[in-house]
Amino acid sequence: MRLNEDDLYRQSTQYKHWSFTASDLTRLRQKTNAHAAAQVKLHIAQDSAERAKLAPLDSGANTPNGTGTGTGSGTGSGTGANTPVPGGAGDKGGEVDCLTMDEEKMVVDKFCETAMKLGDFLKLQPDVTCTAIQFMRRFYLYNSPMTYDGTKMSKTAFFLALKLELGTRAGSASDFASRLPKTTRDDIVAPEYTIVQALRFNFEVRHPFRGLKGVHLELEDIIHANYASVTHDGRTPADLRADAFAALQVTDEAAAEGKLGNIYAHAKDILAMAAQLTDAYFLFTPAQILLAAHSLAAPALTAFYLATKIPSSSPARPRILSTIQSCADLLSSHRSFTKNPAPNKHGWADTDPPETKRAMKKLRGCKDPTTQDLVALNAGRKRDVVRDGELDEGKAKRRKLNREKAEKESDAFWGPELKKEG
Amino acid sequence: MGMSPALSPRPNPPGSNAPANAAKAKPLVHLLNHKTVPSPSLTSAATTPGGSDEGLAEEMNDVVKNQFVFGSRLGEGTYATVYRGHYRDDPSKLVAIKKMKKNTEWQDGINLDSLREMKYLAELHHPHVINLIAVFTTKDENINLVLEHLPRGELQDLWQDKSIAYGGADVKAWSNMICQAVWWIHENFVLHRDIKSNNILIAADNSLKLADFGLARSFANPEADMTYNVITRFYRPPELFLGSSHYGGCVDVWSVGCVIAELACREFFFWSNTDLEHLVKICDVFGVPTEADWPGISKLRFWKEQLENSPPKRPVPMSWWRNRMPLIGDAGIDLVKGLLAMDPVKRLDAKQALEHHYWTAAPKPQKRENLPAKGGKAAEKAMGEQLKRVGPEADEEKMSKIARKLDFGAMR
Repeated sequence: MRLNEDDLYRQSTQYKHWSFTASDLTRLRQKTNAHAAAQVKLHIAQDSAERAKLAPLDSGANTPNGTGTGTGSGTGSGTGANTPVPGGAGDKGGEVDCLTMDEEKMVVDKFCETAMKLGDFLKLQPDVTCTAIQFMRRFYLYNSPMTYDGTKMSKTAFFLALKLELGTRAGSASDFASRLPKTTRDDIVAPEYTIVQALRFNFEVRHPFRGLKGVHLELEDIIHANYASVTHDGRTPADLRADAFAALQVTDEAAAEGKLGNIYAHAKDILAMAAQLTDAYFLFTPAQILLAAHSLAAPALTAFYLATKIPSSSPARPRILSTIQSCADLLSSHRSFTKNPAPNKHGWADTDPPETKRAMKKLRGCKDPTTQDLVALNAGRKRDVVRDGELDEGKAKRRKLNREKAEKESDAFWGPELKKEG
Repeated sequence: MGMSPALSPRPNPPGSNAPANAAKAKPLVHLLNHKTVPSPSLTSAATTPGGSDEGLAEEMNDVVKNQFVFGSRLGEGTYATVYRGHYRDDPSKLVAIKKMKKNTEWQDGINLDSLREMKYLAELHHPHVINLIAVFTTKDENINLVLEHLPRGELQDLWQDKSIAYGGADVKAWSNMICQAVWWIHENFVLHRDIKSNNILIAADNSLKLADFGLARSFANPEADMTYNVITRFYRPPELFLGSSHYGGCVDVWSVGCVIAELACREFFFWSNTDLEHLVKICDVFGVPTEADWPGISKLRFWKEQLENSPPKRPVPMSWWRNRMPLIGDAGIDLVKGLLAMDPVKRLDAKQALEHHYWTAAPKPQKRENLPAKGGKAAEKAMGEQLKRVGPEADEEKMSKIARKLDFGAMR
């Protein structure tokens, strides 16, 4: 009846559906990218064709819906009017320049960084923010940022995470919308189905934070010589304390306690940033991630800690250590990583690497015109899937205005960074 | 077709679904149980733009959806309709499909109960927890939960049906299955928070299945507050009546004690009309707890107005228990009293419950195939009635009203 923690973890959807080898992950992203690129090219071409067909009809009127045919303006071509591409692509008569898989990844990382800052700005619990970020990362394994806008998706991902982590205390969608710059309740709720479907209705994200806290508490017990568990090598609590002091390079409990506190805070920052903004969750288990973060914050102490758990003769030892090491390599490769805790935690995120800037700029030219107005799309689905494409003029106009307003607003929120480059 | 690009991203263009995906459905039997999903074929999607104008996630959804066929309706409630259904490739394999209604009045998207149910059932696969086989959406954006088909109704109907006779061995077998389920969910750090005999369903092979995870949550961080307005009153432990907002598996364990006691005496073990009355009923059996037998009780939120001035009362004697539940014997009574310890710290946890000597005392638990059961259409309908309920939220609201009344003292 004793359950092994590994067995329990293997039951989780995180293990079953969201853990990958590096090559599986690349293959999946390639597939998503190729699929989305094909759709984007197709839809932009269709969009331009529609536009060309309509042009003569529109010539006299000043609204694109002047005629009754309307071309389903509620969802498709109307949005296209606000994206710079269709015209441009059509003029050139050439192929749309779609994001590559690597560019998509940069863009998604950028969205996740922004989500991290948003969580900070809203003073949300780290669990909520990190769950939202992981929802984003999972979502974009099966969807392309060319298809679904990261800014819009992140708001909904946050609200979903809030509901799941805080239950009835999450507050309403309107409340949440009011805390965000210029966002309506519809903006929050409309993309929800798209997200939950891509998440495959798996809502549990197993984070490494609680495990890290466990390690921290155990180490505290050790430095106070209160460690109750039996070690495999017969060391007494006093021996363990002496060894921990040596690993920490301290001589008394007070100093050890202070250092432990700093190490814990540093490791926690690594988990809150580098672990969220890399593929760590897809490639490693929570335990591997937290031990990797701890080893980055305190290599000697982590080696000591691991030695209390794994006998040096254990055949699994080299494999465990090398897995932790490769996870540590991944975490420390992220640009948020600093050897010592930085005073301005998110300072690194103020500037984007040039290749990210380029990818963000390129994205503006290859958005799928059919999936940009999520609120209208959702409303359309809710009413009826089969709509004859006719909308009364007032409605179409109002929608167009709403859409333009929404787009302007999102520019206002996310604008500064984009403006710099454009 | 002028309108097609505009409408394209809908999940399920009419006429494009069945034949193309039916072939793909075969290798993927239980989506939730497989690590790798045969990803929808990319080439066919990219080269047949008219037919498959969908993202990978939508295609994946279709693969799941096409494995199941809807059958007759079993029950309909405010939030969900339950259908009998079966696998497309094997009509003898039955399932229950719970179609969550999309409430246009619902301002906050997918409701919390549905999210919780999906979240926890997806993680908790156990022989005594209802199995969530798959989830898919249909074109109208309704979420459908494919659950295992449990045709024998609710446990509560069983003990209430006086035409069914059962004995100590039967109670022991049922009780053990419930304890296993609760042990498993607690090992997975999940609290159910609404265990009661009408949330326990009976499978065709007579095994019991814990259902309705609409109020479930993960164990909280020690510093986080949780609501004390949970668990149906008859099954709610005293610490929640007293306003404790920090708790663990102990609250579910109390509910399990109530269910086992209920099976043993074939009536609600604690019965009351109001929350206030309920705590009195509990004290009638176990005495009024004091700081001496429940250290810390006087620090609980509602202790002052509810218990401080109660006259002392002694617990009922063993003869009362023997008289009330002869079916389970002294060993069974000892287990029930352990599960119903007033002080949550002294209460057994689910693991200790499974180690109790009741299980090894005579009589042996009944073999599953010999357990008495209801059957037939009525019981199947009962499953539909049970699954369609998404009631706890409404209950919770009622409860919070009462709680606000209770909080009156604190507000002054």
